[in-house]
Amino acid sequence: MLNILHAEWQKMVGNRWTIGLLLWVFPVGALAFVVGMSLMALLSPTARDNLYIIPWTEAFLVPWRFVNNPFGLMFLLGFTAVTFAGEYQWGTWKNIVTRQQRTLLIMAKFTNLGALILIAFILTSLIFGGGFGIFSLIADVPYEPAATGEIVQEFLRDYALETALAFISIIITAVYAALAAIVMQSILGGTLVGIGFSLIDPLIFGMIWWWANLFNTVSVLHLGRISLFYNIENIKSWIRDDQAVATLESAFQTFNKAAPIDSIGFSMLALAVWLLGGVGLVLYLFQRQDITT
Amino acid sequence: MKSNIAIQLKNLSKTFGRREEQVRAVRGVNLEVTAGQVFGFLGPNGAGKSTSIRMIMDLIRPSQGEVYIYGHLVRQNRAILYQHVGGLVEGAAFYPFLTGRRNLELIARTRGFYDAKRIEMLLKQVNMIEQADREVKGYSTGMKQRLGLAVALLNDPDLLILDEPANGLDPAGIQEMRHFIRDLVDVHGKTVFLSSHQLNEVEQICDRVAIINKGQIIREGQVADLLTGQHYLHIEAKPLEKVTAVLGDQFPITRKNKGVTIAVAHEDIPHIVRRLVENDVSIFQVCSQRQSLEAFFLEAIEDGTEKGTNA
Repeated sequence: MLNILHAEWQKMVGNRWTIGLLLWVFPVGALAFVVGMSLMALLSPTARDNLYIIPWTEAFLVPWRFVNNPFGLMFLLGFTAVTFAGEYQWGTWKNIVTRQQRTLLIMAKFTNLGALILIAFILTSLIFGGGFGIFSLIADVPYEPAATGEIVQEFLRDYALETALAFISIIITAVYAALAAIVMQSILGGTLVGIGFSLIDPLIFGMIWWWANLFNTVSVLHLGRISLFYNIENIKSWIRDDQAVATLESAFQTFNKAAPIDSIGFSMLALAVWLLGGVGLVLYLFQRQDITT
Repeated sequence: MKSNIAIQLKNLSKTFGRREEQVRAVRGVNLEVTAGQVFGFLGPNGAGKSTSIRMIMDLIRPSQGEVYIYGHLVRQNRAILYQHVGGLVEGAAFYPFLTGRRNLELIARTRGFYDAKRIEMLLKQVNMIEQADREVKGYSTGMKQRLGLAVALLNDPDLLILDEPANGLDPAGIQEMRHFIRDLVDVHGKTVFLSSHQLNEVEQICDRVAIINKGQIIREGQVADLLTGQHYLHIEAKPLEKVTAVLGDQFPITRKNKGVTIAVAHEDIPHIVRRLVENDVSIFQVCSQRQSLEAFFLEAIEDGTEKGTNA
């Protein structure tokens, strides 16, 4: 397995233009932003006076929030699609694939993909966090809030939560992009399906609510409980506010019905099913696929 | 390991598509390839050569039938492919953004037999050492084919399966490839199963051939056996009408330029010449040619039906 991981790593990192434009663009972009803003602030007193400095507890989290919108995801889904569909387009599966190895190959791709995304976003996060610190030095204002034990502890909890949920959400979306890339054997197809999935998922709950209203079938609302977006929000709500997210309650109130309360365990299970179900489906389809390219 | 039969295909079939759109690419192929020889697999485009090879290499799942490698059923013992088989399937393909050497390294790592010294040795053997550190996207088709051959040899296999290995090579490269393949068999004791449409090459390097057309094996046998017996006699004579009249009832005759071409058995040649002389035909030239594999191949696929095998 280590050999396969090593080979996949060489392949993904060796595709310099792709990884540069779709993944390293985040830390490099962040660095360019920090350097550019710093130079402007150093050279222009007006720019220095207008520097907007966000608290460091926010600065470190900005990249993880940015990536969880369709525009940010587009880059990562493109990278995922190249990773999987590229093998068909270059005709290279035939060199390395026999049915015995297929599961290992796919797992190695997902592992490396996850590792590279983590590296890119942790770097981006550090650059942003550090960058706003530099801005505060240039502007000669304190970089707030003061790092007391309690603040640091709270920040670390939020950071871990935000990064973990963003990462899981990215990986689940990437799994569906990979699925499309394998079925369609196309980089574009994989990217588009991934983006479609990331756009539709947050709307699923609303669509289900609309359907329930239209046909007056309250039981349909339960379907919304399995959506990715709902469960991520539910986990956040439990960790931050120690209660379930209000989305479900509001939806059921429309019908004067009491909403079920989904625990954090329920939402974690739902995310695990999304993740494992997606990976399992990729493995199943790839295992059965004829390599004809 | 090891049976003396390197490859055995039993009733191998592959159907693509569903219901009305079904394409039967391979239909009940039975074939045995004895170890220690170069076996040629011939057929026109779309005959089922590459699909058969992909089934042997476990890239495509057969719809029906079984593949045995050295007596092991591949479906139940896929490790046999890693251990004993190397392949170049339908045009060598690589990661274009990596160097030739890096491509070999990661293919070797993925397949679990990475050995830097062997990679170096293979790059020299296929004459690619000077280009090894250039990105593959700048390679010619011939260079990719050579690198593909190195990939096929990475695990020092007993059996090499080569799909159109001479594609994209210049005449010197083809000759080099021919010697290389013959050496693998004659010097290193390997078995080579190669598909090709370059019939002249096949005729020169293969010990045995099978011809596949429309998914079925239509001829199989030793190259020498398939080509013995049938000769073509080209006769330049006057008057040609008389030649046709004298021989037309006994032999199929085709008029060509100033003469005629007659398909005959070797032992009939003196009899033909004698009859023409006895009938006052002026003979300017008699030229006997053995049937080429190309002619045999074209005749076989024109027949289109199985005529049994020739052991």
